[in-house]
Amino acid sequence: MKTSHRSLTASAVVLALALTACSDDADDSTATSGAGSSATTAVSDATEPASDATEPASDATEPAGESAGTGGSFSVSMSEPSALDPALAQEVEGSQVIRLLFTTLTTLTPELELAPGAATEWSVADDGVTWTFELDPAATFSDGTAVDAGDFVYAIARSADPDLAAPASYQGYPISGWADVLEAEASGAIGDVPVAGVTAVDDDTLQIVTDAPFSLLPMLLTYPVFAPVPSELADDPAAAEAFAEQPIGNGPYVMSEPWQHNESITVVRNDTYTGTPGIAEQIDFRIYSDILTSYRDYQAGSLDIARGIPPEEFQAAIEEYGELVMQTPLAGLAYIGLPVARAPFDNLDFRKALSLSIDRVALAERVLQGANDPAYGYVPSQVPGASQEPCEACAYDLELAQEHFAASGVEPGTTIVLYDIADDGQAVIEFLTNSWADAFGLEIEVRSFEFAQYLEETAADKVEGPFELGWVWDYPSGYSMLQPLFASGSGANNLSYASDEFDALMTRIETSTDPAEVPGLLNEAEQLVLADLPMLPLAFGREATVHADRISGLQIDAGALYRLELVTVAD
Amino acid sequence: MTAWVIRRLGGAVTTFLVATVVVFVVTFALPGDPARAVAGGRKVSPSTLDAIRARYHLDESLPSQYLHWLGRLVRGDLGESYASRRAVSDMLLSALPVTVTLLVATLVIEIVAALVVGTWVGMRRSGPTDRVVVALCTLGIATPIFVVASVGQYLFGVRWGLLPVAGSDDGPIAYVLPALVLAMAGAAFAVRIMRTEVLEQAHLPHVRTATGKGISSGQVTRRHVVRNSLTTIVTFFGLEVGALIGGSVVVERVFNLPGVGNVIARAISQRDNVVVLGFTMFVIAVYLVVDLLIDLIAMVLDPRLRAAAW
Repeated sequence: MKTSHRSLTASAVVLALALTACSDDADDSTATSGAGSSATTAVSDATEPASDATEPASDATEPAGESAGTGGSFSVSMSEPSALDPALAQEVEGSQVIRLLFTTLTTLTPELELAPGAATEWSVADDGVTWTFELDPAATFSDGTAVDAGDFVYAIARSADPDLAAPASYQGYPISGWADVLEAEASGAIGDVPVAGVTAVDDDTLQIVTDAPFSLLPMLLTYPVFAPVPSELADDPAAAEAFAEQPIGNGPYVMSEPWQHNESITVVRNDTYTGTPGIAEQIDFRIYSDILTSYRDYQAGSLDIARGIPPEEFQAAIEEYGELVMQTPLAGLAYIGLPVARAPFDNLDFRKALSLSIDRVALAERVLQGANDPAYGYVPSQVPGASQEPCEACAYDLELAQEHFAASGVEPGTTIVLYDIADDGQAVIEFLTNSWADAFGLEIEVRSFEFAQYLEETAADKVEGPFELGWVWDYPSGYSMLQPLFASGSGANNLSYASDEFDALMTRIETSTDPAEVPGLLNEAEQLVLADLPMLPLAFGREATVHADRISGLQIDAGALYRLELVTVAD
Repeated sequence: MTAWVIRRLGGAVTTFLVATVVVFVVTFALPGDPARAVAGGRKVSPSTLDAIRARYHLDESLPSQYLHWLGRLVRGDLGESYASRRAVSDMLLSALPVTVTLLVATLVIEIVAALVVGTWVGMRRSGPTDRVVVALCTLGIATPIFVVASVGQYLFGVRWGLLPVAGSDDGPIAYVLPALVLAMAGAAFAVRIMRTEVLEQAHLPHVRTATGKGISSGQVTRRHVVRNSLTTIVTFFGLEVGALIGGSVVVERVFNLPGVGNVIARAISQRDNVVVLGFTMFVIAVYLVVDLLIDLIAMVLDPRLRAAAW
C-alpha cells in the first residue's frame, strides 16, 4: 500500500522503515523490532513479575466515557505524514489517516480481500476493458454534499495532473487517457484536464475504461490516489488550500480540527457514513519523531498503541507486555539486485553462487535491525500464489556455491562493485562483502552514495554491480510484488531483466477473467524468475506493535496498515 | 557608540549574506535531482518533473536559483517545503514558540545556576561543597546530552511518572525536563566560569578595601564581586545560545517537542533543501542578533568597553 520507492531503500533496516513511512529518516519510523537484536541494553524492567504486564493499561490515559464496543477514544503513534491529501499519499503514515477519512470505490478487508467501498457493486463488460461502478446514492462527504460520479471524475483528473505532481501518479497508467494527461505539458491549473477513460454515466454510475484488459483494476482502485475529492475544490482556491490541512472526505471518520503539524491529527467518527461505521468515537494520532519516544510514552501509560518498538527494547517488551506485543509479517522485501545484462552477472552459475553463499538466517537474525524473516522467494508466503518451498538457490550451501562458482568460470580475485547507501544498512554490506570475499576470493569495491544519488547510480542503464533495495507492494497481490520489479520496461526494474515468458504470464494475469486461476499464474511467474535469479531475496520485514490492555480488535494487514476502525476500547 | 552599532550591524549583514551563499551551496549543490525527490523517487512522467522543476525554480542555474531565493527572502517568503508543500515561513512560525520557550527556560536555569551556585561556591573556595560542585560540574559537562535526555525521560517519565514523557500538550510542565536536560552542560560550564571569576574578583584590592570599610559581605558580593564577574558570564551566554540551538535538536527529538531543531533534523534526513536552508538561515540570523546584543550588554556592564568602542 505504501509505495514510495524513495523510502524503499534497501537494507531491511530501512525496509522496515519503508513500511511505515516514506521519509527515509530511519529513526523516525523504523517500524519493527529485533527478534534477533540484543536485549541486554534494555532499560525496562524485564525482570519484574508478570503481573506488571497490564500496568500500562491500568494507567491508560483518559477513561473511555462510553461502554466498550460503542465509543471511547484511543491514541496511536505515527511520524509526521507527508500529506493528508489522498492524491499526494505516498507512505503508510499518510495512508493510515487517509483511509479513515476516505472510502475508495473498492476497499480491502483486513484479510486483504476485495470488498465494496464507495461502489456498492461493479462489473466489467465482455470487452474486458469497460468497468462500471454503481455508487451508493445516499453517500455524502463529511460536509454534507453528495458523493457522485463527477467527484471521482474530478479526483482522477486531479491525481493525473502533472501540475499536482502526485508521487503515486504512476499508478494510473492502466486507465485509458491517464498517460495523455500525465505526460502532457502542465497547464498551471490542477484537475482541469479530464482523463478520457473515466466518465460519469449518471450521478451514481461511474465508468472506467482501461487501455487493455486489466483484471486487477478493482484491486488497484483501493489505492488512495483514486479516492473521491469534492469537485467544488476545482473552483475554490481557499477550499483547496484548506483541504490540504483538513481534507473533506467520504470515509468512516472525519477530522475534528486541522492537522497540528508535528503534534497530532484527531479524527472522530462520521455519523453520516453509510458504510460500516468505525467502532471508537475518536482516534488521536500522536506524531513522534522517534519510536523510542513513542514507546516510552506507551510505557508511561499515555499512549494506547505504539507503532513500532525500538529494536533494543524488543526482547524486554515481550517479557514485560506479553500478548500485548503484536508481530505482523509484512509484504516488504529487502533484496539484492543484480545487473543481469552485464558480465559477470549475466552468468546464472555466478548468480547462484552469490545467492548460495548468503546465510539468510544469520542475516535476518543478527545483521538486519528489527524483526525480519529470511526470504526464500519474492512474494511473502502468506500471499495467495506465493511459493511455499524455499527457492533452490536461496539455501545456505557453501559447497554447492563453490560448484556453481567453478562452473561460472569467474576467476577468484575478480573485482565486483557493491553499492551502499550512505548512513544506512552498512552491516548488510559488510556481511555480503565478507560472505562473497571469503567464499570466492572476490574483490569487492564498495561505492557509497547518499540516497538520492544512490537511486540514480543504481538506475538500469548505469548500475555496475549488486545493489541493495527494498520493495513494498502497492496493493495486495503477488502481481504488485512481481510485475513492477521484473516486467521488461517497468520503471522499478533496474535489473535489466527481460523475459518474454514472464511478460506473457503478466499479460495473462492482467487479461484473466477467472480470479481463481491468478494464484497459479503468479506462482508460475515467481518460479520462473527464481530460476533466472536476477535478484537475491534477503528478508521480509515484520511490524512490531504494542498496545494497551484496554485496546482490542486491532488488526494490521501485510501492507502495514492498522485497521483502526475495528478497534474496540474498553472502559 | 551609534557609529559602533552601525558598524557592527553592517558586519552582521555581511556575515549573513556570506552565510546565505555558503549554506545555499552546501544544501543545493549536493548530487541527486531534487525534482525526483519531490516526486517520491518513483517513476514519474517528464511533464511532472518539468512541473516540479518550474514550481521550485529547479530548472534554473544555481546562481539564478540563489538570487530567486534571496529576492523572496527580502519579502519574507522562504519558499515551499519539498516534502510537505507547506510554506517554510509557516513551518517556522509554528515551530518557533516551542523552541523559544525551551531556550528561555533553559537559559533561566543556567543563569540562576551561575549566579547562585557559581557565586556561592566561588566565595567558599576549596571547601567540601566546592569540591562536590566542581566534580558535579565535570560530570555534567562530560555526559552526552543524548544519554541524559534518554535516562531522564525513562526515570522521570516512565519509572516515576513525575513528568510528561514527551510532547508539548501538557503545557509548561512539558518543558521542565527538556529544559533541565538541555541546561545541564551549559549550567555546569557557567557555574565553573562564575566560580573562577568570583574567586579572582574576591581577592582584588578594591574588594578587600570594601570589606575593610565594613560593608556587609552580602553587599560586597553583590556590588563588587558579582557585578565585575558579569562581563565574562554574559559573553559566555552569548556563545551558549548557539550551543543550545544545537543541543535543542537532540532534546526536541527525544522529548518530541515540535520545535525548530526537530523540523531541521527531519528536513535534513528528507533532503528537504528549502526547509534546511530557510531554518538554518533563521538560526544564523538569530545568532548574529544575539551576538550583537551581548556586546551591547557587555558595554553597559563595563565602561572600559564603551570607551574602546568609540
